[in-house]
Amino acid sequence: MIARIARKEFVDAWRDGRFRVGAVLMALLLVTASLLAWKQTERAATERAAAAALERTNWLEQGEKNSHSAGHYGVNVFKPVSPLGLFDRGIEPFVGTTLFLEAHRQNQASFVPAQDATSMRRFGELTASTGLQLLAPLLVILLAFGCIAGERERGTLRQVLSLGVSPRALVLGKTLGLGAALASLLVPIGVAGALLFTRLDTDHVDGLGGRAAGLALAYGLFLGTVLALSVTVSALASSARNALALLLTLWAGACIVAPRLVTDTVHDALPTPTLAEFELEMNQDLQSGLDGHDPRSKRLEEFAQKTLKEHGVANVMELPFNFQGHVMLESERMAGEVFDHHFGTLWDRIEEQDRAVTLAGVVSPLLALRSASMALAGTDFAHHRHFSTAAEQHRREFVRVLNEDLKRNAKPGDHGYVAGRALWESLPEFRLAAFPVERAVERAGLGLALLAGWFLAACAALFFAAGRLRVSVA
Amino acid sequence: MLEAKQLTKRFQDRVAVNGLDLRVAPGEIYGLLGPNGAGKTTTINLFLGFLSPDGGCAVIDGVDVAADPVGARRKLAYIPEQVALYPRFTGVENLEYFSALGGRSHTPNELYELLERAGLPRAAADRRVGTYSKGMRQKVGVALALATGAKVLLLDEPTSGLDPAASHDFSQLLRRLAKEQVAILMATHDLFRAREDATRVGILIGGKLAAEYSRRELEKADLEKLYLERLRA
Amino acid sequence: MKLFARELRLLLRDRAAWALVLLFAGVLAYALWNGADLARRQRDTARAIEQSTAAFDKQVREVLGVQAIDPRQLARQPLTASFTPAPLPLLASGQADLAPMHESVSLFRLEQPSDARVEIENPSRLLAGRFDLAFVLVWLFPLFLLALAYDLIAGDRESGTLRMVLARGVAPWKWIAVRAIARGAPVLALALAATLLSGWSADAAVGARLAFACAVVLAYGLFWLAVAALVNGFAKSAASAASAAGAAWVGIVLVIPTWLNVLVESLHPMPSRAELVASARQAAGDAERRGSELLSSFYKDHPEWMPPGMQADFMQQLLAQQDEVGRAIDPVRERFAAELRDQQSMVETWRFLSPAIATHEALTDLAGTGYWRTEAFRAQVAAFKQRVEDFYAPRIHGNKPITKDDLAALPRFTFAEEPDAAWQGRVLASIAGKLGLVMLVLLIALRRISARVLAVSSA
Repeated sequence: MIARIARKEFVDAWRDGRFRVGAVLMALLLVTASLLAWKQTERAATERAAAAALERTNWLEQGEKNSHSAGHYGVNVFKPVSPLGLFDRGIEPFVGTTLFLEAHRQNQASFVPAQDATSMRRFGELTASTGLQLLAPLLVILLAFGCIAGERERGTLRQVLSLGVSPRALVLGKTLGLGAALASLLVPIGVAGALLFTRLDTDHVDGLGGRAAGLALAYGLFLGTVLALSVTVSALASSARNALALLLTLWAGACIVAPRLVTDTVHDALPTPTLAEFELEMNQDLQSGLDGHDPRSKRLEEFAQKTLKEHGVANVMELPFNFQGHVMLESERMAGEVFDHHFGTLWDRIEEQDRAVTLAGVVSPLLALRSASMALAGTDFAHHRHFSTAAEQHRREFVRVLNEDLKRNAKPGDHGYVAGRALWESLPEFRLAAFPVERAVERAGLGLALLAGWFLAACAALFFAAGRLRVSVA
Repeated sequence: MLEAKQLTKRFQDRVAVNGLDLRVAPGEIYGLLGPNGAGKTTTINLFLGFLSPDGGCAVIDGVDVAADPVGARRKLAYIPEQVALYPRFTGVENLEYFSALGGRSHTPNELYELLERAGLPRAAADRRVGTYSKGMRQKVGVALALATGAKVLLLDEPTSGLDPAASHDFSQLLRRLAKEQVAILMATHDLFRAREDATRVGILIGGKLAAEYSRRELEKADLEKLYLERLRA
Repeated sequence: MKLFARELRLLLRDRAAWALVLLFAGVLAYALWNGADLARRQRDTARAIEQSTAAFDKQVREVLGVQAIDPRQLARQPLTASFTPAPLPLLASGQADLAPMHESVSLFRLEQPSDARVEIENPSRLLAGRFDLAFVLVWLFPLFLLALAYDLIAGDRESGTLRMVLARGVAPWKWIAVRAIARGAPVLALALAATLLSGWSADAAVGARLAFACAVVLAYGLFWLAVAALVNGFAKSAASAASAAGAAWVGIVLVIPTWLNVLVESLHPMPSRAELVASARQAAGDAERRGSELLSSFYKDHPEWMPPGMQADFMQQLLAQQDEVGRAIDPVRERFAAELRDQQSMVETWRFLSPAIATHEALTDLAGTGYWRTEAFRAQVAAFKQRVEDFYAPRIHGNKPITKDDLAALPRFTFAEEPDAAWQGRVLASIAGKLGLVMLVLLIALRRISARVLAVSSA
């Protein structure tokens, strides 16, 4: 019985001209958006690879110089492109792509793509994910708003129920049929999209299959929720027109208003410092230590005294190594603590904001979906932080090696010491280890859990509405 | 067999059906007359289980509707004033779907035959219902009643808006069904059809059965006169 | 007029309409309040920069009063080019949360890309966009208008009352027009009031900008009322009118702009920043390796700067290298500006595909947070860098100390606003284009809304 109802609903949906037009448009948008994004992703990947190669050459051919000067010369590292970003670009257009690694300083990634764009960017970007997040729910609403309210108005509902069909079977069958119609549109596109992924360079992505499955789950739960809610509203509404009005209002609230409203509210409650404040405090701590009353000069002086005592000499010139290099190592270590503290606090705050926005997914499932989708596509802040942290580790290691070289190989007090290509070559290129898929899933966990909660709640609402199905309009 | 015992339904401050006792035996066509708002459609809805009674009970073929609405509905067929069909499906597809929901399965040939028996030619049966006239829809409704093979038939003003020829065809069908021992309850304003077709006629006023006439009484008297007398009483 | 009054009365009796209007008022108020934060931040930053610049200026003045300064020393102090806060930041935050409010200009880092530093902001917030007035006006305002005005005649057509009304001899277009305006009036009035309020705390004289903004908003509102009329010319039922109006909104506000965005960026792709960074360093490396050779060729180009005896010091050498790097990468950098210009001109060309784009462009332009003013700032900073170089380079190469007499000539940055005629021209074109669109839509709608068509189709 349920299968029969579902089959009829499926056929009916595809015979509906409005749905067909919507489906064709939807498919066109998804396909063109994915193809354009694919081209962009490939281009960006090639460009960054080329730049990285050139930068390596620059590094190797910088000529002979003091190894600490090489630390100042520094090196640029480029953020690898996440191939799943062609599905969901996430925050990528709004974070820097290039990070300059140099002695003494931890920098922030610079060159935000959105800065090199017109204000059109404010309208958002058409990717497969935005299509599925914003437009697919509309298609679901279009498909489902009249599925019961319309039958009630036409009178077919009386007729069907007079045949002894149980209301729950009817509602369930309808929901399944509409879901199947939707799936018959989206699943082939999804499979085609998945094939597109396999053509990209996916070496530095961990668990591509798992991520894709997670994305399918997240979007399935989301659209399932929208479908169940739409059928529920259709079952409870007094007319198809009212059902449509209510559903469109809910859509506008959850998909258009909520993201901005929630984000702005959360950021008012959990503010981030301005760049000026951040740098001021960090510079203060670099000077006077994290505890605030231990000037750097004093600590370095103590360090010098300690070193002299350890080696039982009276003068730094008598030490068996270059003291400058030795101090440089220590001051990098000290600065590292300050950087860890300040950047850690800042990034924790940003993640806290993101978590709060995700939690507001209780109000709008879209927020839960966005967070889960970005996390699984590898384009959320956690992935960016992973890159920044790895780059900083690379910086510290490379500055340490250079300072170590100075300490070991430069004669005490020798300012003319230079190192050469052999040392430059001994420093490895920056390679970003893949962000482990388990952590990505963990990041997506809250969003997925909220989506699952929404889905269950929507199914419960559907069950409830089916139990109280009114037969006639009056 | 279809029975109402002390059936009562209230809407807020108004009593729509008030202690109605009614019994339609197999082979009978019961014409339920009454002005707008007398409670005819409410009575039909109570038999269909779309409303639950505040007192008494409606029984379809031994099944108490309030206790088991779905089970009761399995035993009846229902043709409303406007037979509602899915416009994007053809006549035969609609019939196939509805009869499947009623738990019957038919071969395509049987379905076409049923439609032809109801008066819908094969060519029309393959057109989408969106293009049908009211009479054609009504015929699909009849075919559906035939397809379910139900022993109880509920009609809610089935002939209103039909042209005389279609109306005539419809009553022919009803009589044939009655011969097959179907119990038929027909709520209607059509005094002419009631007089022609019904084996018994009841006049419902204010939710109460004000009068009941047998076939024999109807043949002797002028139904319109009786009806208006009752209404003014 | 009688018709209009009757419609307004009907609207006032509708509780759902009241709720919608009140909600819209609330949303507008929130947007104004919320936008104030960004405006305040901009003002604070500008003020802080102004103070530190003034302090530095004073210091230089004092020292110069006593002694001359080595240009190498003074040139090492970075100068700050500060972007004057936008004239109407409450109207539209535009690119204000992305574009830097100030740039540091330093002689020895002239070739350093100026936009490397970014203000701290959670990228998800940039992604979501701000809940500012422009958001409400461009995205939500049409929704509220349509919610009130989508059912101009479709519902009457469905229920059959339309036939009765037409039978009484009312001209259908007149009936629709009066209804549309009466139903749209409260929302239109609120939108205009909020637009005016956005000039409340503005620093400068912004009367003209506000007047233009009102015209932009009004034209946008009229466009959506015309869409409502068009939809009603076709739709046979209120539900289909609602879905058609909704589809128009989705197409015009969501799909076309995002699609155009992708298209613009695919047709005019930005050159690679990554490659620019790497090639700049390559050029710098080359320049450094060529060292003294470079310097002699530099003095061949600039004999007037050649120090006596050709004894170039470290800084002179640095300047020469920088000059060389600039020569190598300036073409690449110019390509960024050129591509962005092309993108913008493509947006200009196609903005009328969606009045939402045209309106957003016009509002950010009026607010001073759009492409044009930001671009003007970039251009002026580039010119300022040139001024800094022109001032210091000859003095460093010629070992000429800076004295009291140079005080007036010391490079200082002040942002010069565009002449009013420039933005007025652009916004006028936008308004005219939108009004043209309104006419077009109304024309099509009118052809559909003739008594004959309506009477027959509502049967």
